[in-house]
Amino acid sequence: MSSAGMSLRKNQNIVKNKIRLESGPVTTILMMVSLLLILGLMYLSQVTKTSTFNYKISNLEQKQNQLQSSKDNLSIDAARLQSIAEAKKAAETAKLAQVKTVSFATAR
Amino acid sequence: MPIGQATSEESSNKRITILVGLMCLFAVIVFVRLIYIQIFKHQSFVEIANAQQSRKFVIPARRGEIFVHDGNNELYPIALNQQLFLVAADPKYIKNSNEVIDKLSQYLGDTDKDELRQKLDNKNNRYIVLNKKIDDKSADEIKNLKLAGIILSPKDGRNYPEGELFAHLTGYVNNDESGQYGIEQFMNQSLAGTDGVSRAVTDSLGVPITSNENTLVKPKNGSSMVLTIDRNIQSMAARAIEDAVVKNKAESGSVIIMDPKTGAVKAMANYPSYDPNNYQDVSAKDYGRFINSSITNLSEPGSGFKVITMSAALNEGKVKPDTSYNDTGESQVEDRTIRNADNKKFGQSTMTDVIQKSLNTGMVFVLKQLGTDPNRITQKSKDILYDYIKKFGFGEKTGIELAGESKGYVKDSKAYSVDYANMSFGQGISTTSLQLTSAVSAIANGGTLYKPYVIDELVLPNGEIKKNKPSVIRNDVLSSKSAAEISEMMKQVVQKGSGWPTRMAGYNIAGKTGTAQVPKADGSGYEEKKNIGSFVGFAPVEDPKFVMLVRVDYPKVDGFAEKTAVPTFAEIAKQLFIYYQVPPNGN
Repeated sequence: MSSAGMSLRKNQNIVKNKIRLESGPVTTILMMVSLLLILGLMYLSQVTKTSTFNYKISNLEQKQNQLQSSKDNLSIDAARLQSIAEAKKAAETAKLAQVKTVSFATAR
Repeated sequence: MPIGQATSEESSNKRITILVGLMCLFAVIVFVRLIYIQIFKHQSFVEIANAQQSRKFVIPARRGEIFVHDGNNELYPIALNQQLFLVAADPKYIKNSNEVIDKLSQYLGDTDKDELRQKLDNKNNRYIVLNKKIDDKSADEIKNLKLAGIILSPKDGRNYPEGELFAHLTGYVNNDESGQYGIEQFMNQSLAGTDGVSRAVTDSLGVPITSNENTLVKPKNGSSMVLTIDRNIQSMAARAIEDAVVKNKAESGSVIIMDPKTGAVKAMANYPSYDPNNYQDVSAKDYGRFINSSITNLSEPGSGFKVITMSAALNEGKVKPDTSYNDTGESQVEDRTIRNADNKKFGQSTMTDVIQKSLNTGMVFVLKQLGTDPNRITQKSKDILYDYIKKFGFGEKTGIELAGESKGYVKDSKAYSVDYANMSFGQGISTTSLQLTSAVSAIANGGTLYKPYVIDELVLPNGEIKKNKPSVIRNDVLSSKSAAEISEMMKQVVQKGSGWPTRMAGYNIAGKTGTAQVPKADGSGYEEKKNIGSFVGFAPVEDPKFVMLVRVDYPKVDGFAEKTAVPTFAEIAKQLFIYYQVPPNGN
């Protein structure tokens, strides 16, 4: 091996080639825009999701109110059907006789 | 440099300087304006922006409901919530008012149709309320009619499924969602709760949108209530008093039934009543129907009050049941002569006879015994009677949880002797029916005055139940011995006196009739053909299950309370013995 070849081998581990990433103004702008776009999309998706949930909640609340209203109406119907006036009417319709005498059992 | 060129450059510089100066001035003006708007006017613009961009939504609290129970402790609602609708019209969008009126006629109630047509034809009107209370079924029907200019707005309403039966106890909730009369008024705050508020950022259409700035204060729902009233007993009482009023051609009547061992009111029925679902149908001349006459109307108690005077004398040891006096049919007090109600004289009579035969002269005798000189009414007599009247709770509100209670009127002991002589047998003193029932409860239970109450349980919105306990006002009204003695005297009223229609084999009933005269409005004596018949009593005497007062106002049949109020008492008492399963004692 020649002396020149030896010196090249010697210096092989001494010199390091640095990879330099350099971007021009166009790349930077593109990256910034992409980043902004991604962030914007993420924000939009979150807002849409929240709005959807909000809509769902609003729908459920409406349903709850409707159910509450139906429950109230059913309670009123039930109460009205069980009312004394209704019971009296039913007794009259069924021609039930009034209790006249009551006997109590006596202990011996 | 040529002179012309220098002048042109100077002129150009000058123009630039002026332009820069103007721009600076403009910048300063803009800057000052910005400072003014953003700093000094910050708050007002924030408010304007908030008003445009956000809205306040009231979240109504749910009103508490009212329940009663029956003998088996089953709960029954008597006041419930219901979503109702308000129907209104905007005449601007109504093309044919006749068509609208025809199609809506069944939902308009008693509205004057000609007047309504005029209103609907007046296009300057923008909002005419057609009906404030439409149920959801009717609201759906109206929606399906698809009438232009008709507006349906939801609103909270109240429904009273038992109609008239509990009207005087519950009262009603008016269109402003405020309780009127009864428990609805007295407990309005507790029943109504507190509305919530939501402040939300809205879009251009006023629809709320999600924002960090939105705030929410949740509503606090009202408390529900369970009453001490037993629906079956209330029904018996209501039916019986209606029959009594009709049969006696009376103006009105009432019944109170109370547990003498607690003060819990089991029934309070007045006739005539009204339907709280349609309270607006009560005409102006009948507004008196809204009043719970058992607690509001004041009247002289009449002979029913004799038991109070006699109790005082027994408890003070001034008389005994067998103490006697000579009844000459009249008694002189100052310049007045007091006579028995039937103008008869009974000769030698015991204190038991005085109560049994309801002798006015006997009560004057008792009043005299209370003082320092048994032959006349002294200051001491009046002081002692006044003290007992107060001890029994007269002249003060009982504190029952119902709106409109009156406290009555009792003359103090500085009044004339003749006034006290009249008071001793129930004239010249005004009381409510509830006060008299409560006082007789104290006799029935052996001398303890309880505060009458109608709310048994308060059910808080979180489900917690607060039980109302009986409240003792005083436990020294009478000794148990005196209470037993007066009870025995009242028993004789039923056995041998004017309370005879309540006599029932196997049951000991104590009571006292009262036929009170009605003072003239101008204070010049009493109405000739008007009276109030009452009967207050309790049973069984040995272990009272109920105290009851029946009052029939202005009956148009001849006779005293034994013909008007006593038969009604007897009828209800008979049913109560069966209902409470009280067996006859075999005597």
